[in-house]
Amino acid sequence: MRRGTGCCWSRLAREIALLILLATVPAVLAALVHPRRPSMQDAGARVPEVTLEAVRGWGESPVWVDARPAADYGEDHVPGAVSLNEDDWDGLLPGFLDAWRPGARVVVYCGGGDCRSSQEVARRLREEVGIVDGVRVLRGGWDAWRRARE
Amino acid sequence: MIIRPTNLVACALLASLAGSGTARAQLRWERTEVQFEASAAEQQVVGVFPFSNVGSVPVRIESVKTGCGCTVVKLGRNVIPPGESDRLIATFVFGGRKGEQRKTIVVQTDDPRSSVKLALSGTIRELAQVRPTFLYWKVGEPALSKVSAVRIVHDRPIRIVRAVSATGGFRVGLREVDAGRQYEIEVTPSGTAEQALGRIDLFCDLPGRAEPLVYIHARVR
Repeated sequence: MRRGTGCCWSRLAREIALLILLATVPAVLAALVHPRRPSMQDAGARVPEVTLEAVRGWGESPVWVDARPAADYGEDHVPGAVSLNEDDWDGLLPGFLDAWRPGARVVVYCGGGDCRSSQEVARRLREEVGIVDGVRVLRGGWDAWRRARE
Repeated sequence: MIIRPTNLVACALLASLAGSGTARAQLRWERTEVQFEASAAEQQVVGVFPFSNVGSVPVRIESVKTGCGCTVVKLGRNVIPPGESDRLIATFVFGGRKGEQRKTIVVQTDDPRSSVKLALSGTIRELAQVRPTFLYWKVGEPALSKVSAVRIVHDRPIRIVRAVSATGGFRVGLREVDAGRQYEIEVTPSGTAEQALGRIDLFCDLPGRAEPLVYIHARVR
């Protein structure tokens, strides 16, 4: 008796399922024990990002916060931005508080790319300083501002 | 030859094993993460990452990038001959950072299999946490008291002995919730008709410590 094509397809499906299962086992093991596995800490709560286009669409200028090192800030920065970084948090925080006003939006930026300083500064503004609403991180950071300016 | 599904499974399995992340890289790192625990008094931590070229050709380290200007990297040489070893030294300067930290260093080489992400991760212990560190009133708002909570996170209890308005314009009350562990600082502006700025300094009983333990900032805006 000739076997139907349905039989062959179901066998193929079983083989594919077996393949996926066999690939999953080493993948899970690698995620648990591989020395170069990504850290779950990297996937923590992040402050929401905002694009430069969106900021320009707000109509009013936010309080810009430059989270880069002091030397980078001194070289160039978003006009009107205040410097606030973790290198000198206690020394710089009063300057930010002087610039901030109730209800103002705050946009924090750092170098862009792999820089995480803006996320850290934004997180501390929310968790420690208590400015929970309206704090955002600029997507692309200083690089994005510079590109838009050119 | 008839290609059966079973053959496909076997071929796919072999291909996945050959291309998996467990394939041998030329630069072998002795460790990719250094963990630390630092006291509040410490200023920095140094992580040493030894590595060896276990391949048969030289490996050139093309770039070393850190995610933060607070991490400085020192590398002995950029080209590692086969069979030789070297080390990357990363110094993380704490600055004003506190709590859980993770600083990464991405090493790119001319061999994609040897590129790696290194990490310095750990905790910078604080003595105390204040939440929030900033109290504010709008101009014209009723001059009612607002409260910041202080929690001593140090191993041993620390008593807050005095809370002082360093700049005037604000009255300060210190309330002990749990001696040596929890306090409440009540701040009241003298008035809200005009803008004002202030700082409240909290002093403790730690031997030899003359400067404030923590600060609370206050504004009428």
